[in-house]
Amino acid sequence: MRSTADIPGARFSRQLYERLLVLYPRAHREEYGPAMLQLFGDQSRDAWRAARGWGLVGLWLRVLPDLVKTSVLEHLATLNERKSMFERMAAMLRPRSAPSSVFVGVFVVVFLLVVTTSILVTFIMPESYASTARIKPGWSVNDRAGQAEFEAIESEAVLRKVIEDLDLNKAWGKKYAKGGRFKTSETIILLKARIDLRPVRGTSLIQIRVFSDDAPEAATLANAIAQTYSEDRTRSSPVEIVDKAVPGLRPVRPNKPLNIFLGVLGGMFLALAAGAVMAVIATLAGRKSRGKGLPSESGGPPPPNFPHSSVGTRARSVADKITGVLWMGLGALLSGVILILLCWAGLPGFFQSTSIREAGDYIFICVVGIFWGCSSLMASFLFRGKPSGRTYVGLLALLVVVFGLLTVWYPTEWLPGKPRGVLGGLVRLVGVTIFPFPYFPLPFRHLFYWVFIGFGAITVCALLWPRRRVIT
Amino acid sequence: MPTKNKEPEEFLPLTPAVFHVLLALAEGERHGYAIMQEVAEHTDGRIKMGPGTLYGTLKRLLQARLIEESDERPDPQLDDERRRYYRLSGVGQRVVRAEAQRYAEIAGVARGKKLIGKLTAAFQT
Repeated sequence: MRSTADIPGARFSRQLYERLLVLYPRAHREEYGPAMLQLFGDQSRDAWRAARGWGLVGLWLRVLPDLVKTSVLEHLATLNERKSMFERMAAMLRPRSAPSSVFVGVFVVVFLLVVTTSILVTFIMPESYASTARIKPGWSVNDRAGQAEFEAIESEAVLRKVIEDLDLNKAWGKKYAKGGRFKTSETIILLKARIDLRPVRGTSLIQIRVFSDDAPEAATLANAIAQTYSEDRTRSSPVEIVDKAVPGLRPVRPNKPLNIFLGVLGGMFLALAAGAVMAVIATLAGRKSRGKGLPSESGGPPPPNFPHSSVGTRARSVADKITGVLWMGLGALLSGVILILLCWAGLPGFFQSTSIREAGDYIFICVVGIFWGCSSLMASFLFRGKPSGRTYVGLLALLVVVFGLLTVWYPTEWLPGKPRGVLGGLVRLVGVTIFPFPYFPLPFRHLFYWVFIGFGAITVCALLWPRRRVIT
Repeated sequence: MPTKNKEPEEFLPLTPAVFHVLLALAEGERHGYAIMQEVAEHTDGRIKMGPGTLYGTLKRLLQARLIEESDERPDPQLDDERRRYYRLSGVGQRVVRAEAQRYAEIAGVARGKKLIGKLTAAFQT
């Protein structure tokens, strides 16, 4: 019989499948990898014999999903076969530490970690300067017509003129697009994201504030916008430039004292939570060790991961819930680190272009992280089975609160009046995700939102997933 | 891990993948490729197991001691490559019989309600 080695297409398929076996856990790969490869080789030979190249294509269309699914299941099975996180921590904690010392130890470690991270991040983050010009329009900023006119300051007509006068297409193309040239429509988007307009409280003045990583540029832009708008409106209602913008002496972002303060505050909060969780685990571990013994010590093992077709189980124990909480914390930290690294990489426009103000950046990171953590928790339930209804409702409420907090700082530019809040945030997320951002070499902003929406989809799936078998 | 005598019913109900693999081994030792072919044949091509699913299932069946690994030898009908053979254990034989009995009982009820026609020989007791 002709072997796979004699068939070029099948041979290549087998080599490719051999490389993909790396997706499986090492132990499984070492034990069953050769047999799986052998079976795949047999299937490749049969597929080639049946329909040659198309047969192999059909085989890959069957094998790839099988590979992805089973590799994930094997990794989960490997995790399940080990002692649960709770038992491992309990084993670590039980012989030695009283809950109070555990609390203090964890508190100190987490607090130092969070504060150190916030300090490092604060000093690593790219700096942003702001310059402010103030104008006195010939209309009231407080009535409805005034609100519409407010928008005209950063209208396309005004910004287009500013871009032409300052040749921003070329200047920003050189800076952000590796020497290329932006289209005016792209530059308008970039410029709009750096403008912050607000009335000066108690007066009839309007403040035009522009952010930039270059102090003189921020001042030039603010003055150019004020000047252009003033010229545009001279005939209809005169606009007076009250204060011209000057280059800032110090960067406004990051707000180092505030960030550090928030780091300390956030560190205390996280350290308290982590310390409390670990103290609870230590307490429960102590109680359990005085009882029947841990399941792994009691003998009479249930078959681990046996494909028993039982209906999906609940999040059975405190251990599962604590594991979930820890996932949330890890999710928060991990997402915070990732987003901070993105900032550090110097990607322009991400945090600068949002309307998140001084404290918002750091809180935003934590909020997104909590959302990711919740989604991870939901994903864990996807494989472990549905939790109770109350847990679902509680987590859903938490997600809504988190999402609401997340969107507080996001004005929704797609809707009139740039509303903030949950609905506006939802529209913004969908809109930003599908709107092209060609001035980034890679759509990092898209990537961020796609991951965000992806986790949201996982969450929704986990919520709606019917009761299912644990492992098939 | 000490062997514990378990009743076959404790393993029921089986998932379709597991049941088909045990059925494939019911007539004697098989290697992975032969199991895969037999499952495909039993199900008229509806179930075609990938290597991941098959060996994941075999792994779990070995852990549950429903099957045993025999030895490695070439299949004379294929090529010279050595292949891992598997066979049902005593418990495994009782389990697959119990599951088949369960299916037969369910099919009997369905036949009584005229939901299905004549049973195939494989499910008649």
